[in-house]
Amino acid sequence: MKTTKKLKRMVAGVLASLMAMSGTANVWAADTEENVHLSMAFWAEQSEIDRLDQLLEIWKADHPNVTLDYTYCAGPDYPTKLQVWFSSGKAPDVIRMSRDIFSPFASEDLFADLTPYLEASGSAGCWDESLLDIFDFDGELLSLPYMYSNYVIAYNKDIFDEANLEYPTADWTETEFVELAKTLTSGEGPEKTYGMWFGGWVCELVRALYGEPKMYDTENMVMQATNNEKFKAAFQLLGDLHKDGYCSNEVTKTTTTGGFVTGKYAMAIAMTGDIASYQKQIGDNFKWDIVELPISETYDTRWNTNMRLQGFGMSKTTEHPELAYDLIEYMTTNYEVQKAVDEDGVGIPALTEYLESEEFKTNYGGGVAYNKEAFVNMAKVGTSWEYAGIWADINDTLTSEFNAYITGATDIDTALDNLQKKGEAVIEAAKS
Amino acid sequence: MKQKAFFKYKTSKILVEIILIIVAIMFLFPLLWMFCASFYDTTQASQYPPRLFPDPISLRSYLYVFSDKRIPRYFLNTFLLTVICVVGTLITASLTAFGFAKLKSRFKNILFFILLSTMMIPSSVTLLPTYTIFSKFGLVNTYWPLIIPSLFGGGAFYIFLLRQFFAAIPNELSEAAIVDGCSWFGVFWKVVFPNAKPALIVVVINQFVYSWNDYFAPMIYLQQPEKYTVSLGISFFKSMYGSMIDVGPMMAVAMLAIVPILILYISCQKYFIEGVVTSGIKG
Amino acid sequence: MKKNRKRNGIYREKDFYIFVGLWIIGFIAFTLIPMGYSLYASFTKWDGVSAPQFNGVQNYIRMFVQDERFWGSLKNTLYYTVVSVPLNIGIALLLAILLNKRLPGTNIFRGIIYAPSVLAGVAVYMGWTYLYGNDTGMINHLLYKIFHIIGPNWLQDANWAMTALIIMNVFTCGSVMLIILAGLQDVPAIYYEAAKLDGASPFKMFIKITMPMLSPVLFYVLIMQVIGALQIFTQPYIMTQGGPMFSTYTFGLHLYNQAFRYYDFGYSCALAWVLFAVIMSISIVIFKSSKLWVFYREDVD
Repeated sequence: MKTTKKLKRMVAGVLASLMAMSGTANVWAADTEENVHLSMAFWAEQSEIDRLDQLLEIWKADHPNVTLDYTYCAGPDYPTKLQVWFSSGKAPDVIRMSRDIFSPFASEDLFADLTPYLEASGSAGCWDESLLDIFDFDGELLSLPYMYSNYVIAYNKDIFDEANLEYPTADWTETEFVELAKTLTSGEGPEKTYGMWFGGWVCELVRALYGEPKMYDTENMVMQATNNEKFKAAFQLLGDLHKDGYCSNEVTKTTTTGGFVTGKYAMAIAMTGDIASYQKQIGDNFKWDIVELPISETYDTRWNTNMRLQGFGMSKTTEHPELAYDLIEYMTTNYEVQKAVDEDGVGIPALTEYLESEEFKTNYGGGVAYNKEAFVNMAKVGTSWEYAGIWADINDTLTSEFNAYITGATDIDTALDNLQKKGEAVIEAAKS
Repeated sequence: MKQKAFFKYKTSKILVEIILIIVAIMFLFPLLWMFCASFYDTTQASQYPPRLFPDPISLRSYLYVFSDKRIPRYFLNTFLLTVICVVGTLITASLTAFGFAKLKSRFKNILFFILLSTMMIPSSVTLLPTYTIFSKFGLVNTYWPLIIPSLFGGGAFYIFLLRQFFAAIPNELSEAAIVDGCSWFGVFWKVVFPNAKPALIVVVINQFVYSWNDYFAPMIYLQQPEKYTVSLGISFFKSMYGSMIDVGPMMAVAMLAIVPILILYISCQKYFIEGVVTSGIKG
Repeated sequence: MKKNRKRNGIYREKDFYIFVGLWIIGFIAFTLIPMGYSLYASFTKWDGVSAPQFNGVQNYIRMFVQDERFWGSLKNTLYYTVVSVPLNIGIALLLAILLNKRLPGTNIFRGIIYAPSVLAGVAVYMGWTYLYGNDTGMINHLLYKIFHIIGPNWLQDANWAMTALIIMNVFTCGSVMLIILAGLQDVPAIYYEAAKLDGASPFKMFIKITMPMLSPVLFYVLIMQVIGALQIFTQPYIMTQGGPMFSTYTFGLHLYNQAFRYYDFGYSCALAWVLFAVIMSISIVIFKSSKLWVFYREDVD
């Protein structure tokens, strides 16, 4: 009998906790007379969360009759969350988006066209035209630009000094780059210094290094791996750099060698978000700076970079489009918000006004000064690359074939051929 | 003769002890590395030559983790959630297992087969439809989708395990109790349940670990950050704007997450010994 | 005669349903219905966002005829299962036997061996990625220092990546060991004592007493491990993303990619059903074979 009493108490306790945890039952709470509910979703990293909390508090203070429910998750999970929200028909009102995951959703009529709102608010001139173009899908503007990140090359000044070589400048050529990569590679085994580090990003670069025609044409759904002189040249160039040992093979992206900050690489591909890590982890160990990607004389173009443009969009089913747009505008045109992006070091803010300010030019994230302009300049040779849907499938094939080429498992023509065939098969299956 | 046998016995004991020590060191090693890594500064995880012990010992990872004011909340949430799931699974799984092990029905074998086949269903299959069902009932952003599976048996894994253990308990005992006027529930509670303690402990520990570490379900169903669990909290410490992952904070959170599991395990230790005693008597 | 009737009389059908009812309800609501939907979805073209469109058996044709990665991932997954499951169970059995001797420190050893199996999740697998590093990883470092072997570039080498995952999985055999230990402790000591009086050797006692008594537990563990191994996903996803060159590309990973990265949910459902069929077939084989080697104590009484 005693045990039954104990059991009953335990069950009661459990039920009580259950009640306590139930909380709000609705996904997004409904509006009441006085209180309008607006919902917002974004992905965030730990360093951003607290700051975004504060910035949103300011917006909330301006809109006292609005309750802002926001949710966030880790970046890699975001597309999955989008899927479950859209498939269950209950998407948040304001949605943070990135160009590279947009494709599967753009064509499904899920995001509202922001053009009329933009025209009404007169904010069209706040950002560079090219940024607005990136979020243009079939004539509809599905997001306003918030921030972007792209690639530059970081170089270790100490290694250059030791070899008595000049630092790269913005107009350096591909030939010079290859020369440097070769000359600055020295040593063997774990003590080796590499001329260049690409990490896993090499498979992104190779897709459209020299611009059009890219490895695939996403608009017309055509695979362009073979009969593509530029692509083959890019593949060969980057592949051989790895094959001949001037870069380490880190194609699968899950390596632990530490990258540029260890001081073992004379040059390295750097994303905007890497600068914060550089500042924290390099410290005084060596001097470094960044420079734009080199210019190819053969094709008369600077190396193209991935333009990871992020923005905020509005769900088509929102009940408060004006309010949602107001929030979107706040995130993308408010000076303080954009400044916070810069201070966090997560990306380059999209707002032109901030980009031209002294604050942007002198904010180095609390570390050493570096050539920040390089990122802004690279935006001009930026191409948006795809990470979702069938293009992700083809990207995976590229990684595998590239890896096979580097390790000597296949030769370049077979690799490109395989890529072409498999890509075509995937596109075929998608079209049917 | 006796001395020789004794000597042989002693050396075999020592040999076993040595093997166990070596195995224990091997198994301890990854955990030890992770513990040390939570005290590394920013570059030590990738240095060459690799060194195990942190030098200097840096608290930056733990400081970074605790700078998130929501961390204690995550722990509380996860703890409550896990306890509910464990109790739920323990009760419902053993009830169901009892039915399969001790009671009769025309459809028992078919149902048992169905039970087993549910273990073979890859969970991603049912993800979207299940989400839609919960969504229609307005249960998204609550803990219900995470708790409900535990209230209906907790998964075939545990039912199967308990059924195997219950089946091993002789039927004479239960039948005798019935003849004496006991109800089936009484048989369950007084005869079978107490005698399967080792198996029940395994269920408790496994369900605890599963609920505590579960990532996918909380990620899909929870929306308010206040409701997040520890495993979700960990996911925010991965750097994804840059190229390099900072392993320190992740290890710090992982270490903090292990603590309750270890506590549970240590407190359950005595039941293992109890199990030994009863089965000795039973024999 | 009377006794028999009374015996059958106490087993009323409805008692069975009282106990099993909860599970049946849960099964119908949360398993059967979603599964039914996913079966339907496997015959559609569905990106997981908009409405599914029926397209007959096209998904299945594509799977068996055109999808190289389907066969590749199936092969990888079967290889992983066939190697890691016996390895895990064998080592767990060995350790359980050693621990059952109740030598000094048993409790501590048991805890230490069990601990890694409790460590799951992204953080742990990331940690293992560091351990498997080429020059900077502790595993290669120790291999060199203690055995003077130069370890391979584990996760970057297509020949070694799968082995690396299998080795890592062995460290989680603690939970299996615990279950086997529970089973060992359930064996009545009196059997061993009687056998010793009859002069049986430890080896004979193992074969004739321990193994048969353990067989229900081993059966359970075998089924669970096989089912788990066939679905393996998180480790390759975190540590190698199926690479290098698809050497660790498992079926679970293929399923995930199709659903959440390639946005082909219909195809993913088809893959899931095929996986289900594979798991089911292998399990049935194991079940049928169990009649030969699994021994339930109640069968003797």
